[in-house]
Amino acid sequence: MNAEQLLTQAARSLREHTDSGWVALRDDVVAVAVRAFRPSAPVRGGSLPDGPLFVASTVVVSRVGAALATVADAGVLRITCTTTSQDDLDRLTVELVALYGTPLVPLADEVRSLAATAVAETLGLARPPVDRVRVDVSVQDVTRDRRQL
Amino acid sequence: MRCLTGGRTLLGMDDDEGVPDEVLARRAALLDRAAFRVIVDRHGPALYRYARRMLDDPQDTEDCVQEAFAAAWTSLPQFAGRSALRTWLFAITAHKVRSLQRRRTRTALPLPFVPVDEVDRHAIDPERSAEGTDLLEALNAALRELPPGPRSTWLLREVEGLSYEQIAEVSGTTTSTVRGQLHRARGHLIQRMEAWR
Repeated sequence: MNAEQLLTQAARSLREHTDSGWVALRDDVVAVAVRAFRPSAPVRGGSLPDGPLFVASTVVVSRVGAALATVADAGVLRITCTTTSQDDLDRLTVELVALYGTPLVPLADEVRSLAATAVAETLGLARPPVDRVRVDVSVQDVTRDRRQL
Repeated sequence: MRCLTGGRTLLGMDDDEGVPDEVLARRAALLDRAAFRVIVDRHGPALYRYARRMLDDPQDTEDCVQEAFAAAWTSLPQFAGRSALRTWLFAITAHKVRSLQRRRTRTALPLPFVPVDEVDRHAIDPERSAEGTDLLEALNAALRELPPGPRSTWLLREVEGLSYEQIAEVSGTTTSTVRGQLHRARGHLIQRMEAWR
C-alpha cells in the first residue's frame, strides 16, 4: 500500500471514528443548548386581575405549531405573528406544505380553526380570536413525500 | 407592525431516521426539542470530530461544540435553508473554532507548519506510531502540523465529504483557495504517511 492509499484509508478510519469526548458530551449538548435565549417580542394576552398578560411570541408560535402537528396531510413551513405597536396580536400567518391531492379549502379551514384556538388558549382569551385576529393560511408547496410534511 | 416568525413544531416523531434535515430544522425552529435532539445526534459526531482536530484540546472542543449547538438552537428560526443544514452547522462550528483559536493562548498548533519539501521523513517514528495505536494516530499527528486553513479544508473535504463550494461557504473563502489549501494539505499528509509507512 503506497502513501496515498494509506492516507485514503486513514481518512476512512477517521470518518468512521466517533470520539469518546463526544459520547461523554452528547447528553449535555441538548440540555445546555435549549436553555440558550431566543430573541422574542411580547404579545399581549388577556387581562388578569393584577394586570395584563404578555406571552413571548416564540411561545405563541410554538403552541400554534404544536396544535397544527395534528393535521395529517400538511406540514407547517413557517408561522408568523404580527403585532400592533401596543403588542396586540394583529394577524397570524401560517405557511404550509400539503400532501399532493389534499383538498385545500377544508385543510385551510381546519388549520385556521386549530390556530385560532391555540392562540386563544395561549393568550388566555375567553374564546378563539377569529373575529379579532386574522389567521391567514398560505399553501406554499405540495409534495408526494409524507416525510416532507 | 412587527412580524415574529417561527417554523413547525411536532412533538414526537415516528421515524427519526427518515426525517429529512430540512424538516427537522423547521420543527426545531418551533422549539421542538425532540427534533433538535435528532439534529444533534445526526451531526454532533462529525462536528465534534472536526472541532477536536482543529483545536487539539478536549476542553476547547467541548466548549466549541456546546457553543455551536447553542448558537444553532438560537438561530434556527432564521435558518432559511439556502444551504444544507449540515453545511450551516459546520459554518457555525468553524466560526467558533476560529474564535477560540484567536482568543485562547492554548492554540491548536503545537508544531509550526513545515513546507512539504522540508518535512523530516523520520519525524514520526513508525515504531512509536505502531505502539501508540495506529494509522489514525499518525494521521492526527500529521494533521496537527498543518496550519488551520489547509487542515480545515482537508477535514471537510476528505473526512466529512463537503463539496468545494460548501467548504468555501463554511470557511468564508473562495473555491480556488479551497483547491489550493487541499493540494497543500494532501501533499503534506502524503509525505507523513510515507514516513509512517
